[in-house]
Amino acid sequence: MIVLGSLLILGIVLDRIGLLNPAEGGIFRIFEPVQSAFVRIGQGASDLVQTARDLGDLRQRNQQLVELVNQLAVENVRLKEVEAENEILRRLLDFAQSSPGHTFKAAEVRTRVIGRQPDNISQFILIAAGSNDGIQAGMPVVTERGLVGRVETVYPTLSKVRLIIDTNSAVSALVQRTRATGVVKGQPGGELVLDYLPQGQDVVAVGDVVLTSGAGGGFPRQLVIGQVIEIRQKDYEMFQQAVLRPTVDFDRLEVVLIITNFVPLSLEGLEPAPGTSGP
Amino acid sequence: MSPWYYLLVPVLILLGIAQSTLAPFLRIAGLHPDLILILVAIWSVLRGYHEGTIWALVCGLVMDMLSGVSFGAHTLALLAVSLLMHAVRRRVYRLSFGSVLLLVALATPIYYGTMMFAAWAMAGEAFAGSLVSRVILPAALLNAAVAAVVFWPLRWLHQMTGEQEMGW
Repeated sequence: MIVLGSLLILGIVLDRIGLLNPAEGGIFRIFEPVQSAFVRIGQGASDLVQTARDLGDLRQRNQQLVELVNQLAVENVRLKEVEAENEILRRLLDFAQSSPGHTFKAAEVRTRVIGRQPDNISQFILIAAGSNDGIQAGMPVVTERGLVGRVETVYPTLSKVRLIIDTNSAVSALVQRTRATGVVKGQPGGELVLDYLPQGQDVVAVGDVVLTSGAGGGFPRQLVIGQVIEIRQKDYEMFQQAVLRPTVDFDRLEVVLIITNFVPLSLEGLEPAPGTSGP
Repeated sequence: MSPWYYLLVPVLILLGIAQSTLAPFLRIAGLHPDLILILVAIWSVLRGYHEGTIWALVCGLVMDMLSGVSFGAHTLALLAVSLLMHAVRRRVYRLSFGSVLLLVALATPIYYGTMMFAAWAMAGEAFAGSLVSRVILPAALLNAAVAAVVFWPLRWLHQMTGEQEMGW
């Protein structure tokens, strides 16, 4: 104990008078590699801890970025939907402005939600407009591409629309080029046929455009129905038929227009004029 | 009464809605499978008349609400299918997988025939005779093909929920 104490006091004295520096240099030289190794280990450990901390931060940041990407992806989808809807509405607006004879009421077709016919034998859609919106049974339904159908049943906020491709649908029509008239009827499987066309060579041709004629008062005139893609003509039959490709894509209906100022004529309730046999 | 029965009605309503929203997306050559018809037919075979009738009633009413055909036509058509399956089930002790598919195919014209008759009787709606060759027969084949897929989960459900008959 006395020896250690004496060495300590001697060391302090030698350090104060500067005689310990060479000895310290020698000791440092000996310990330097060990110190360096320790420093490296320490730095490595420190880096490891820092990396672990960074990893936690990076994970958190990565998570934030993933969430941001997801939000942006959703926003992107929403903006694309808005853009698509805007395009549809713009085309419908152009169509409405180019047809000043009718007033139109836009309504979303609820096909994507509750709106398609659940069986294969009839063709209906549900639209999100009803009597609260001024919709009445019989009103024609169109898109900017042409005739869709007619409102069949009206509820306060919904309406059922019978499509022109339904087998119980009949629309008075004419061939635009020749003015030959007939009746467009839906066929099983969604086919559209212009029937009761008079026989003749130049009555109808492939590529002719078929429009509503307005006859019968069920639909307004000059709404596009479709284009002739095939003619069925037999000499022994009284009439010939033309198969049409509808201008409207019924599988992709999203927004339709309802012609609200058109009142379809109905023969029901009419009384014959005095002295006539009546309808 | 088992909780299974209480869960059944909302599930059946959802199925009825699914028929008019999802089935149109499964179109093949202009036709879509009659999922509810397939479900009612197979369930009637598996579980008998009582449960088949309830499935037919609930799903049929939902479909009638969403459909443009006269109200009640789908319900009557599905009830007819359930009755047909019940009649077969009473006479045959054990039905094979193939015979169930055959029954679904057979049920399709019964379903559409009843629906068209009901629509004609109630609202005077007439349907073209070509519906048979162009829609109903192809739909029968399509429904039988889809039934081959639907049968197994229904059979599993049948085994999971037991053989209890549903009372009124």
